Amino acid sequence: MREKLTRHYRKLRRHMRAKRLVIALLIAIGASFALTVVSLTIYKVGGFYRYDLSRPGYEKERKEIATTPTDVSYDTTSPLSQQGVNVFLQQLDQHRKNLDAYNAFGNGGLSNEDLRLTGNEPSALQ
Amino acid sequence: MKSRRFISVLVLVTIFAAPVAVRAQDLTVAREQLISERCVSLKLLLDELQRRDLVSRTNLGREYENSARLFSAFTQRVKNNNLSPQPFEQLASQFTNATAQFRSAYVQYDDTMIELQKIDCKSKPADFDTQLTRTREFRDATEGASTHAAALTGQFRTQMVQLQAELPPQKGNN
Repeated sequence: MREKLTRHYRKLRRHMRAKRLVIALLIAIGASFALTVVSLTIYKVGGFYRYDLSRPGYEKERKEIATTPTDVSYDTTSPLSQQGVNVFLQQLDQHRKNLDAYNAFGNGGLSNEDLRLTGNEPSALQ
Repeated sequence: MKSRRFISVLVLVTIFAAPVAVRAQDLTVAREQLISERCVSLKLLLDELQRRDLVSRTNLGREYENSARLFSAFTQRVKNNNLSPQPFEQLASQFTNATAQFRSAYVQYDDTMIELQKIDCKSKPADFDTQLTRTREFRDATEGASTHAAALTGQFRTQMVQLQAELPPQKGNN
C-alpha cells in the first residue's frame, strides 16, 4: 500500500515537473483574475465608479476637467519678505478665482425654473 | 355659553380654511400632473445636471488640494522664519475640515440624486416631488460647504496681507 502511494506520488511529481510552465501560467492567470474581481467589486460596491470620469460615455465631461498643475513646489525655507508673501498671494488669488469659477452648485440647477416645472402659471406651482 | 362660542369659532375657521385647503390640493394635483407629463425631459435634465456637478466636484476637489498645499507651505515658511504660525495653522485646519465637509455633502447629495433618478416620475410624481425637495436640500448643503471653504481662503488671504505689512520689503529670495 505504502509502495503504491509512493509510486503515485513520484508519478505526480514527474508529471508536475514536466508541465511546470503550464501550471505557473494557470496560477498567474487565476491570481490576476481573482485580483481583478476583487478590485472591480471594491470599485462597484464602494461607489467609486460614480466619481470616475474616465468611464465610457463621459468624454465630454473629461474635456471640462481643469488642467491646472498639481505639482507646484513652494519655497518654505527662505527668509520671508513682502515680496515673498506676494508670490504666495498671487498663487492664492489664482486658486480663489478657480474655486469661484468651478463652483456650479450655487447656480440653481434644481429649481422649478431650471427643471421647467413652472407650467403656465409660474406662481401656482412654486 | 363657552362651548357655543367655541363651536362658532370652529365653524368660522372651517368656512375660511376650506377654500384654502381645496386650492392647495388643486395646486398639488396640478404640480404632480406636470411632473408626470414632463417626466422624460426631467430625467434628461437631471442626468445633465448630475454630469455637470460631477465635473464641478472634480475641479473643486483638485483646487482644494492645491490650496491646502499652498496653505501648508506658507505656514511652514512662517514657522521657519520664527514668526507666529498660529492663525495660519488654525485657518488651514478649518479649511481641511471644510473641504472634508464638502466631500461628504457631495456624496450625500449624489446619493439622493441617484434615488431621485430611480423614481418613476410618470407613475409616482408625488414621491418624485418629495425626493426632489430632499435633493435640493442636499445640493444647498453642498453649496454651503463650498462657500464656507472659499470664505476660509479669503480669511487666509487677509492674514497673509496683515503679516506682509509687518515684513521688510525685500529680504528673502522671493
